[in-house]
Amino acid sequence: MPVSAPELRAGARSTMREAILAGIAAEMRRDESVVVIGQDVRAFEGPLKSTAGLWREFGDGRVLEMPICESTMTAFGVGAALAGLRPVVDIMFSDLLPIATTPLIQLAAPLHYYTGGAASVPMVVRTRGGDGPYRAHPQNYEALFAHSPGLVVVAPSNASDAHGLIRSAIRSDDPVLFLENIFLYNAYREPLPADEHLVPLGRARIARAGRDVTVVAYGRTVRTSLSAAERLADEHVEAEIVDLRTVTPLDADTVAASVARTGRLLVVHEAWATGGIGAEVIAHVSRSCFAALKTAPALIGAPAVPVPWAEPLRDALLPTADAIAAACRRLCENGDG
Amino acid sequence: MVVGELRRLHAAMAMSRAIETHCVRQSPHWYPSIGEEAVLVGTWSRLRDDDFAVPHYRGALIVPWLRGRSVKDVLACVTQRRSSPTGGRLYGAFAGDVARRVMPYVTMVLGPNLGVAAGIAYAYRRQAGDAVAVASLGDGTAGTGDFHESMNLAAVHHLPVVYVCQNNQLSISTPTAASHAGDSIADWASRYGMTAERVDGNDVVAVAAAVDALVEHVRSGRGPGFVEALTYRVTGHFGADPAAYRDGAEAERWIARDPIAAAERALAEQGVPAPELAAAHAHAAAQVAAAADELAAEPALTAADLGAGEVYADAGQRA
Repeated sequence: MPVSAPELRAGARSTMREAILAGIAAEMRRDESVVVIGQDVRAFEGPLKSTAGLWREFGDGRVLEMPICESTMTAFGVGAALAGLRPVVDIMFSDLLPIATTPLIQLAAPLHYYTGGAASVPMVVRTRGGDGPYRAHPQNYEALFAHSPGLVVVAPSNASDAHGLIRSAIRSDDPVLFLENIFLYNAYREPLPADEHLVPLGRARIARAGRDVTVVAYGRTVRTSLSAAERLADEHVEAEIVDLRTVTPLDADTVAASVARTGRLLVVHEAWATGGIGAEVIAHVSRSCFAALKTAPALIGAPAVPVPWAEPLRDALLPTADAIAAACRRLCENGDG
Repeated sequence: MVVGELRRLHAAMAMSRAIETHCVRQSPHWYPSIGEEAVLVGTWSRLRDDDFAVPHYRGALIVPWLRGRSVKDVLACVTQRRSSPTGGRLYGAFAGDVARRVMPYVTMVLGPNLGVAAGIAYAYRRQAGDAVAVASLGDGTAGTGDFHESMNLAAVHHLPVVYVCQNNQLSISTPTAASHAGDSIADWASRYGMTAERVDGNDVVAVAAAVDALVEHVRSGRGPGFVEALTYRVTGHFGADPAAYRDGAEAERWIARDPIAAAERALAEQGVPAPELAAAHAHAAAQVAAAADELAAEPALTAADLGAGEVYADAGQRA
């Protein structure tokens, strides 16, 4: 029996999944041009129940079932966006993103620039990935897409931000890749603001203030970093956690301002360290505020190994609170003050 | 077809050839559509202005012109002057004209525009009007996964979209028979359950009639349609390609079936004097030459025109 699309209720505590769904439903109620396009988005209610209730509330016309064709359904979304709709294209899992790369990075991303502003692509492509409780669909491909000018790449770390970010993404006139972390999807409940809640794209958030070391993270590793920060606080080391929220365009100002305060930088993500977002953040800080650094920046990401299947092997790739705390201690041993 | 309408099609084919002849002289890398004008004009002159045109790359420059873009602005996309509607950001032949509902050819990957056309058709149906999307493709594009996915999508959702295959029988050097299984591309389309037909792509009247019929079929909500227009690439893949790989006798047969000459024979039979037909070519060539001269005098683009702050539509997101 399908449930209705979730609505925001004052004081209700939501999972990230429910928060995103409530955001999509709210935007669909607000704007007739918002539609959902994807595979198994009707009776099946989407992968991991990502579209639960939408079909029942909004019907066939606004929740379009697709055959398995991630590339063409993304190009289809671009066409729908060019002709006046605001499509939310649901790509089941991050493993499937590579086949949608052409329409994302060579069609949606450059179209506004190539047409001299005559066209824009108000499309959201949402998917879910990262290592989670089912130990499936673990790929983290955000760096591939962050490398493509014209795309916005969003990776929320908590339910409230996820809700506000998906609503901003749907209202944005730019194509947005919205990455929903599977580990975070149903694991935690948090209160959502009852009023219309929008989180601006392209703006990081200070998730925890601290004077000694800046830890830049996004998605799942924000929570891991916050755990590490609690341990460090017992040792009188105060870590400042910057949650990027939007991976690209990077909120370089917020990162630089934090590094200016602490003088030490650690970047943490679940994705491969090689050629990743962390390398980009460190390059930016090194170029723009090198003088503020008291010691060399540090980076924790997956080693350059294809993601293995067996759980003990997989675990070896994941950033842990222990590793983050240890890296912060090492940073704080270096440099005066 | 009444003589006045055929004269209009003839004049548009003459303009297409004048533009392409100019472009191929300017660049040995140009992908010419010379000899394929009946498919181009027979397709793209049959639509309403609110129908979305999604043309294949070969010959696409004529489509914005048919919708009212001046010859000068068409050529400005190619010559990359500061007045270019695309600011020199896209290869000239791929420029499109979104304000006039002509889709650019944004990715060099063949196929994604077919899905784009299906998405446009879905949006049009949502908006409850009767505008349609029309997309053309080469025979090479029909070999892509995107082609088959788009045919399936258009058919399963009964979308108001017409696909026109501009089958010039060569994917660069590979003949269609060597790369495509099955009887024909139209046959493939028909197996997806859509109305599909094959026409002589060098007969502008036949192409126009087929497109007219299918657009009306689609516009009335009876699902997608497909036209395979059989023509021939009488040039190389690009201007400097001598096309030594193909059967010379076959090329000669198709050159003898030139679509503009065929239209002129039909017009002559209907009493249009030869000098009037020659004047259509002279008029087109003169317009192209005048536009080229005008553009040559304009400032070229410089690095200052890069527009690095114009990548995102929402100003607040600019990095």
